Amino acid sequence: MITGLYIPGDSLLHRCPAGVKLIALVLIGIGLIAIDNLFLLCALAVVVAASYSAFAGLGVAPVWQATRAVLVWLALIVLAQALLAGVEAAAETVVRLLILIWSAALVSYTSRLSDMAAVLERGLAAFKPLGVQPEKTAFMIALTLRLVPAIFAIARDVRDAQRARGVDASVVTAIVPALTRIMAHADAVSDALTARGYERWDTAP
Amino acid sequence: MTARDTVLIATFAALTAVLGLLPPLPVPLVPVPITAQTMGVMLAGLMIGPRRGGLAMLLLLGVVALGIPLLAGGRGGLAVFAGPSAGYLIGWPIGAFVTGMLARGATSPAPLFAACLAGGIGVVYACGIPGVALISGISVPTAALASAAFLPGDLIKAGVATAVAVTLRRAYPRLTP
Amino acid sequence: MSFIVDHVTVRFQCRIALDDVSAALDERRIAVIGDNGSGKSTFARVLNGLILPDEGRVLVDGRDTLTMGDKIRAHVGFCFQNPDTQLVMPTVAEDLALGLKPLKLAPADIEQRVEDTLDRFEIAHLAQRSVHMLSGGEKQLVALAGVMITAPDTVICDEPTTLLDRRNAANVLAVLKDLACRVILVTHDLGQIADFDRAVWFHDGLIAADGSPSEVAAAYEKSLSGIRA
Repeated sequence: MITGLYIPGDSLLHRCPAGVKLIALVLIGIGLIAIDNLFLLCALAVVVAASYSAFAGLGVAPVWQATRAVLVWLALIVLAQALLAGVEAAAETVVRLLILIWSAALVSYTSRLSDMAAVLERGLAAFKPLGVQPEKTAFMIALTLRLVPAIFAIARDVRDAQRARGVDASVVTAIVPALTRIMAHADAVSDALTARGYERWDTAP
Repeated sequence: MTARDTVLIATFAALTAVLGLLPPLPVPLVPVPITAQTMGVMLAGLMIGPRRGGLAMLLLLGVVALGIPLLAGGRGGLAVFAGPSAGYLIGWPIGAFVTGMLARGATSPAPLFAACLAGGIGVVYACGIPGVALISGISVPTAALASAAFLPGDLIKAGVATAVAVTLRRAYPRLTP
Repeated sequence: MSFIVDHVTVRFQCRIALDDVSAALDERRIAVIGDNGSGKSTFARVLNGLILPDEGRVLVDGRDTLTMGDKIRAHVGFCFQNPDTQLVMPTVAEDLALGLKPLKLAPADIEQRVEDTLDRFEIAHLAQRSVHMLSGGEKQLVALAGVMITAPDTVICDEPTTLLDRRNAANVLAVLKDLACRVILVTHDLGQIADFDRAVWFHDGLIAADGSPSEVAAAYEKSLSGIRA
């Protein structure tokens, strides 16, 4: 039911390790703060947009997809900034935003969930002394993905049952019965996990 | 971390995602239909407590960052943390935590509603508005004005979350401190 | 492996689920029957420590479930009624491997065990299948395989076939009966228990009858005769 943002491919960026891409993203973010020149920013934006095709084999559609989500905001920002601080300042802000958003989206489009999760697990390992459990964290990610369709199905069942009874079925009227069933579902999943030895994942065999 | 804690945290992360996947609702005084997703922030704090509620929101943000489009409108990936709603997102775990803390021991609507207002709205807006200002390059008051459009919808969500919690916290006394 | 239930009482918010129940379980095939709310599911769960008694204690090979539940669960598997709540990973193979996490095996050993278990239950063709694409019967078999992969001494099954259609129910039951380990089966279907070694009938939190399946089934049927007026 849920498909990730990852777009399969075999390009340079696809083969680049997720950790490297993330570091590059951070560097881009830092660099953006430093650069003041509008012309340079625009050139950088073009480079990033062109990278979708040149280094990721993705074409133009994903660039638009990434932009569409923030289009209204961008328009409002342009308007606000143009009125308050001038056209050049507005242009700088928008271009910076686009560079950051396009770069971030490109990392998401070219990195598998499992690779990103592996980077996260490695990163979390540094916090083990604080009580963080990287293996259980990775599991919780998988569990969340497993639960989304299950909870969606419960919500849909409750709504259908209410409609069948002629009750006005909205989020408001459905939420108490749905939550009740969701909590019962959580209880059952907890029991099954406990029964399979979840608490022994961290102790010695 | 026990199995129960793990599953509850994942459940409320998933629930908040599902609230974003449901069709948005029309709300009086607001020009745009609003999603129920931020109600998940309040419900997490109210139903499973501050620690688990905060972790649930953190988990959801983690999954989104890894590239799964679980935010309202099918948004996700690292790009959402580079956009204008980044501040609000950072406010979700803290908001759930604060809601949970303030709701501790409460059974009547008034303190629960106050908890939702403080955590689900107060904290989230306090993180979101500066975020918008910073990323958009506009002043904080301007950003605050822009965010005011969401207030009526969020107040309604706080009301619904409170009503739900009043009913359900009685059914799960051991769960909700 | 011996189970000793010693004067166990379990209370939920407004009712008594088990009322001063005592039993010693040693047979290889034990059936636990009763109506909904009779306490049979609660009984199953106190056996492996998923539910702790409010009074009394449960000893599994001398270990108290109150203090050593996790060690007990390492040797006692549990299969639940709803297959959907037992499968948590995206694919069948990954879910099977999950059961091995407490054992801290090397990746190659994990892979081997998963393969062996898939073959043993004749579900090798489902290995890479997405969990939510499986039928109810397939899910329950995968759940059972996930429990058996750790080679428990005893497996407790709480109404594993109730949500399945007749064909899948018969299939799962056949697999259960074939297991070498001890099986404690909770069911409300008397037709499933004929060749078991012992049956225990729960009613209102108490053991109403305890003996051979035919005796207990007869006693249960007799209690129903009052309803069929």
